[in-house]
Amino acid sequence: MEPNQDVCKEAVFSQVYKAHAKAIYNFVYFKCGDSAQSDDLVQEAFVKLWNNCKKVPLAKAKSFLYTVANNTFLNEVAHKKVVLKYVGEKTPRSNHYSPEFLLEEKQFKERLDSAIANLSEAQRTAFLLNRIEGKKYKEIADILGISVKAVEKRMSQALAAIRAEITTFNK
Amino acid sequence: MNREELLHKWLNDDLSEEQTQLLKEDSTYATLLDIAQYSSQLETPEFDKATAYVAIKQKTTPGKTIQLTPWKTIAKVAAMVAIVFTVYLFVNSLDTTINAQFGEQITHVLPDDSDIILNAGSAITYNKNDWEQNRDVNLTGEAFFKVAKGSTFTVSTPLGQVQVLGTQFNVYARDNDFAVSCFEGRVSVSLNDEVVTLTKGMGVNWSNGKMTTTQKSELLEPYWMHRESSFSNEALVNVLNELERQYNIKIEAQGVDTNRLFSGSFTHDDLTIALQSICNPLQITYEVKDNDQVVLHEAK
Repeated sequence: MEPNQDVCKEAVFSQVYKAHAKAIYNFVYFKCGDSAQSDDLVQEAFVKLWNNCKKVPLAKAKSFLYTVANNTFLNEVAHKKVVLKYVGEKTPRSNHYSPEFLLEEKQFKERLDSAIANLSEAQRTAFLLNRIEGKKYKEIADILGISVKAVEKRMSQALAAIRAEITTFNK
Repeated sequence: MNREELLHKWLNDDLSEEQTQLLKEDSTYATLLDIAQYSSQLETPEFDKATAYVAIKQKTTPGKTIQLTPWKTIAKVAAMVAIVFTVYLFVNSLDTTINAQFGEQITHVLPDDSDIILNAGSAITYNKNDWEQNRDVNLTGEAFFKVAKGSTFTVSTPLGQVQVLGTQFNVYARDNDFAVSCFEGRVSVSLNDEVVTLTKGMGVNWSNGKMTTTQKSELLEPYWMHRESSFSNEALVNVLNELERQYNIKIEAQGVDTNRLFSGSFTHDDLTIALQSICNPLQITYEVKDNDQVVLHEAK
């Protein structure tokens, strides 16, 4: 193993942390919706990585972190409602900012929010990894340890479920 | 390619403009695209990377035990504080002792503003700490008390006790002699099972277990406070002891019967005059030597 690839080296470990800490945090948060618990799980995952730095090559560090975070999550985390907030101000639907449209958009966002919270944990994690983290299906499949086909299925299910919840409101 | 496949391609970011347009024409898929697009504007809560990293480093640094160190320091500080506090309590609980050496008289003010004037060769001890609850003074020797009004004030001597409620009195407690004179107010004196109440001008005297009351006196303060010692039918040995205390000298009585009684007084300011006041009436000669030694002889 080359020295600059050694996760046991403080500098390398710190690089891995900077690169993946927020992503691991989000990943856990998508699952549990509890920021404090996500904090703990991130710390635990990186502590485990450090303790196992001899066994984990740099290339595997990322998947190691996701796996540990996922396993720990399954072991201990109590589920909470996932609370997210909107950041972007640009609207994809229209350039007309009529009051009706803004109200409609606000309602749409609220329903979307609650629909996401109501997804199953498996669907939500895949969906938000793709939408918020911008990960490709292949990456998601690697992280979750499932096939790309399974990711497609979860994405379709998630979208359909959200759409169902939003259109129910509209009627 | 069916629309579902196009949707996944779009979600994976590899769909061309025309194909996207195709999807949007289907109202169901247009909604899905809206959902997907709005979802990507969502954000998770803040994650404090730096703080979490510090926490991780603490958990991964074996041997250094960074977490424990502050506790050790705290424990050390706490132990020191405890020791200092204990010593403080101990010192505070110790009795205060005031000691008047031979040849000196000391005025001492107690915490309640009561005055004590200690005659030469006398000592008092009391506890400053619980003075409020326990106005108790231990006395050996002779002292005059001007007691401030308040709760019971007790003077304990090896021989007997004096109890008062704001008054002025003199207590003498040396060897087997115990004497109390009251100059103002009332005092209650107890020795063994006997209790005597004294009023202004009265005095009581125990000598070798024998109680005698002294004559009513018009004095406001004992003689010794005016630099004079006065005796009435007092054994010479006691007079000489008092002389030793007042002048810080050693007296050697060679062939002199020191059980003889003496009535009179001596000054505290001039040894020669004092010696004459005692020796002349009793027909004793004296000889002052170096290093504060005085030798007495029976006059021939």
